[in-house]
Amino acid sequence: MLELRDVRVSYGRIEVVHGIDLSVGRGEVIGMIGPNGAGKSSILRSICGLVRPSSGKVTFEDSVLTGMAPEQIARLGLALVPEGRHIFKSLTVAENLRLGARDEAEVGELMEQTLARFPILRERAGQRADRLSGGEQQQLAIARALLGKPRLLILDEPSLGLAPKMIDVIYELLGGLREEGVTMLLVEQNAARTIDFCDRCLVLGTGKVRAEGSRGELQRNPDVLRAYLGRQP
Amino acid sequence: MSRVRFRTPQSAAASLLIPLLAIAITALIGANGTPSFQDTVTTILCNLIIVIGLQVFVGNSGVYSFGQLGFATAGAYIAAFLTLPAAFVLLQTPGLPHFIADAHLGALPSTLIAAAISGLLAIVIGLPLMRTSTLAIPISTFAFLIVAYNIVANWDRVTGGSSGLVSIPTTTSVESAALWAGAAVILALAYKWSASGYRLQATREDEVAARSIGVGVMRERLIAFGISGVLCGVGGALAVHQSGVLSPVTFYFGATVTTMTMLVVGGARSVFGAVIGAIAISAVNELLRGIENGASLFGAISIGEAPGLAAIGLGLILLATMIAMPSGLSGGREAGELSWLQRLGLSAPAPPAESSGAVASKPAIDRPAKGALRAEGISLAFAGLRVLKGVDLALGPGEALGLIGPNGAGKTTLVNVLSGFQAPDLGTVSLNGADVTGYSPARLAHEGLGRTFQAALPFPDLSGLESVAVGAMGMGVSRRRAIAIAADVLDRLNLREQAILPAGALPPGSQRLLGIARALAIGPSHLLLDEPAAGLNEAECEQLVAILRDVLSDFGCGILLIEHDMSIVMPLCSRVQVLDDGMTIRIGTPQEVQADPAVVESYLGSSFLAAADA
Repeated sequence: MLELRDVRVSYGRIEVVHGIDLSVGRGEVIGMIGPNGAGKSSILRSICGLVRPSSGKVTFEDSVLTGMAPEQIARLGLALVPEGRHIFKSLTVAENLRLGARDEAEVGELMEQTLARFPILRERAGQRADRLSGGEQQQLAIARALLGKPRLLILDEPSLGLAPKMIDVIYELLGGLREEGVTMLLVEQNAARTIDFCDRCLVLGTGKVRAEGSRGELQRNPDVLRAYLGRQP
Repeated sequence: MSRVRFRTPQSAAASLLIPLLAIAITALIGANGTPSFQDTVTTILCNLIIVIGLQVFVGNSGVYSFGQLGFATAGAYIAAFLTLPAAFVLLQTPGLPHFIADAHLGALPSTLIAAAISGLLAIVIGLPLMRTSTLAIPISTFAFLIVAYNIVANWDRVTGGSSGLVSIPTTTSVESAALWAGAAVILALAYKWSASGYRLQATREDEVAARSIGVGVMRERLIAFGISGVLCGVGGALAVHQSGVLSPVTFYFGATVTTMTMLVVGGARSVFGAVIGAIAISAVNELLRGIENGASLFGAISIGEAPGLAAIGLGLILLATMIAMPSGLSGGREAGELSWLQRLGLSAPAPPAESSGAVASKPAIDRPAKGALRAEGISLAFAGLRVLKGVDLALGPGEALGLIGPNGAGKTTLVNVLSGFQAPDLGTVSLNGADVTGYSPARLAHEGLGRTFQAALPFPDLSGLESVAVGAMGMGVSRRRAIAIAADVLDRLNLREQAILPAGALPPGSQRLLGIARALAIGPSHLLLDEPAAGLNEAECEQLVAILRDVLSDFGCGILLIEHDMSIVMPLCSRVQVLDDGMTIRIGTPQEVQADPAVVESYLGSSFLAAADA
């Protein structure tokens, strides 16, 4: 569904992603982990059109994403839940959700479905979004993305800055989405949790894929995890 | 061991000499031209001085001012009054006080006095104006420009009213204008590279972070506003002694737009940008004006008069630059920082910081009296929503206190109250025994309170070394000492490699550590860290714990740690305070808190217990 072929990303003269291959199939949940500066965010930015790869190709189903504007890519059904959430703070919860919808005809039905999934948001539908707690804001960001009926949901550190209990709530919600067959690409800091949650994980280090494997493969392979824990291979 | 610097001597020399060279070449071309061409070049150099004046304020503060030409007007009129021949005084300005009218000064003293009074005027005008918000300053300065115009245009007996003044001695030559322009470049760079200049640039990069390291935003803006006023006054004084005539509209809308265009096209953030912008736009402007008045190119194609062409052309150039080169022709860099120059080997980036070792053995800044940071009965409501309901907190010297609780419990709000970003409705904050409730963030930083933020809030355009050194500069230490402190702190935090890169280019984790380094550079007695581990992986979290241990032992400061990651809180903190719904629900050792059913219920969640058991 989503394919990256030899994608390189440079900022000025400094190359931060040195040729990454990545493929996400329909219904798959893929994770990306790795230390800071490994290039995770840069890869997400290149997928979403926020930075243009210096070489390589990004395709989504039949469309070549490389060189497309972020809003065009979003219209194809790729939804990014950005790090730091980026909700519309001075709008109400309901207004935030409405703005996420791409199909006006279905908005009522979709809203109902989404609110059923996120009861706390139904409770707070009329409140300003900046009055929500961090965990509720994260739910809102995910819900807003879901209202666009995404074919691929990209999550950048959904547990960032959340209390342990709230992280459990978020992952319960994501687990529900996984059961329904929502395709997801997930970037996280917590390696153990991510490996456990995803079908397959990429371990990145200094702009390259250092290891790749399924849950079982990575868990059986402590060397990879040790390498991930900062020691250079 | 080499001294740590912001830039190599070669780079600094290139940044200074290349603009001076550009001015010298312009002057040389001008001096050898026809008299009318000489006049044109002199005017360009006068404008250049005004553009440098604009750069000092706009470039370093990042705030646009549309009022600076008001100071050029002031400088021009003062210079004219001081030099007007006696025969014309009675005719044109009968109301002028005698001691001014009879002064009949020469070119140099009149320019110096004009510069001084324009600078003073800028300080007086700036005092109220700089109090207005970042967004309001462009409007309030613009209002000043209009007021200045109306005073000059209507004070007939002194200023000659809207018809202006004529027969002012024309003493400015290409050479004298070029010398003043060179002096302006030196002054602008010296300011930009001074501690005060860096403090102002920090407010441009991130106002909130700058306040947290003790930078008084209004004060720094006012200093730059004053220097800008001096330079604009010089430019105005020289210009009036070039043309010999002056009217209220000489330095009004038109000149404001033209000089602002020069600055933006050249690149507002650098003095080099101001210089090349002024020269490039002037050259194009002269060309367009030639065409405007009708000209024939190569004797073959004859172009008729096209009034307004110059203005339209300038507008298009401004638009094209904004689209293609948003940071201007210079990219906002000084000449010594240009990458093509560095590739030619003429200039190199500063080498990685290497600590001199002189300050390594003691904390950055000595703070003799170390007591507790204490909050008592803090209550705060936002629009009726009670966020804090009578919270007490005590953080002793050398102690690490964990502050945990669900999202929305009020942890960050409490830190904002402690650091002065938010005044409490009720309750008091005291630091080292003194009541500090209601102190501004900058003042609290001077009292020894350092903090970081949930977002890293880097100074994107400053290098790592500069970002951290600004922290010490905010405390008023000398530039050299600030650099030594910064190098030392960067060394301790293993950030030496990041020192020469712009902070904005660093990965998020490094930016976060840089935020801690910046807060440490103020030499805090108490350090408030808001989720320092967010966005760090396990290995980096371990490093962070080690670094914070060193901070506790080496700096001896108290640390308040807001953190959700228990693997950071547990090994570091001797006590943990749990907030829920604006109230303290538990204070105890990490073990006690972890085992408390209420804490598990509201915060940790049952899976945490399961994981702990496993």
